[in-house]
Amino acid sequence: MPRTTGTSARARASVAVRALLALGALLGLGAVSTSAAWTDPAVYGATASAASVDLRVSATGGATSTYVAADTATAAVTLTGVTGLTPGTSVQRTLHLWNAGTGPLALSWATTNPTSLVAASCVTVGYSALPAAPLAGDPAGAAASRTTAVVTLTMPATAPAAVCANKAVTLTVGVLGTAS
Amino acid sequence: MTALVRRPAAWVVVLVAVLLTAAALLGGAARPTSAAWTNAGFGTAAVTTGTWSDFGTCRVVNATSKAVVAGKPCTVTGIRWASNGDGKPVGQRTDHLYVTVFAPTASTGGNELIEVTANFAAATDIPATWVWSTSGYGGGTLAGVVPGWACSNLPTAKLYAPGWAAGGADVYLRLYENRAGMTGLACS
Repeated sequence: MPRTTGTSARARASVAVRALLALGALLGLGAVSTSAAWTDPAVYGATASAASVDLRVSATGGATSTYVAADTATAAVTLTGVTGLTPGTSVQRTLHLWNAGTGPLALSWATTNPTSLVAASCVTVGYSALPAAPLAGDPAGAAASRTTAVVTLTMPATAPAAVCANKAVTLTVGVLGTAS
Repeated sequence: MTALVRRPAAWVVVLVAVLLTAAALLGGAARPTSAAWTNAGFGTAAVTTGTWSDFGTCRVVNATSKAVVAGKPCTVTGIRWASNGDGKPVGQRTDHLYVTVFAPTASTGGNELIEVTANFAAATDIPATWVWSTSGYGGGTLAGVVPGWACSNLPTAKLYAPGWAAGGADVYLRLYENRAGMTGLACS
């Protein structure tokens, strides 16, 4: 009986140690696998050929040098201003987008984008349809890796002067690229 | 013997429980990383609204080409209704409107006009019973017809005011509650 008891205690201890080691190893692997998740441009993929995520924006389009990584609202690309918007008129501004990464990106408008400016009765903000298919990635800037996104500001003919006239606001819009 | 057989089974249970816990922890840790493969692009633009009144908007145009003359501000400062006193019933009235604009840098010498997009429904003193669907307007001191503007757009109206009115002088026109058979309309 004493022999039996001693063997059992050692075995339990051994299993406990092995279990803790296994848990530690798994958690360690988890920490390693998530540590790269918050880098930008990010590198993803389990294979040897990792892909980069890099959506860039330009106010004018054209040369790739005009595109910048405007990743946040505070780093936004400055578009041509809209001045003197009056009732019954509408104005468009275009974001030129380039997927400078190596993998395709599905594009969508940021959910934080405004639907009106000044007040709901003053200026409505509309957004063009974005390509349904993911935008190809190309660090060299091939045409297939670029597209445009158009924002339309419209002031209805009924916009009340008392609320809407002589106002100055800032429009900030974003497009989200998601690796597919 | 029975006890020895049972103990390894308990350890296996403990080990499996630890592994399941670890798997659950890793699963919870992995989910947030699914949002990591995104990259946003932002644009910003300063937006200002213009100056107008609830009477409408106006702009200075070339009298010949009707092209907008840039850099010349214009405001519709008033629209006033007045009855002609003929006692006609609702639906048959023909009354008067006086439109005033202020375009301080517009030329008053005849080479520029004021293109007005007016909201006649905002006219001071206009009866609430005015029937817009059958209405038309024209005559008076209007400086011309805005091509293609339909009377069915009323109470929104487009018209040309003469350049001499740029300083605030009244531009007079007639407002017909029944445009059928009327001539000289400034809308089609």
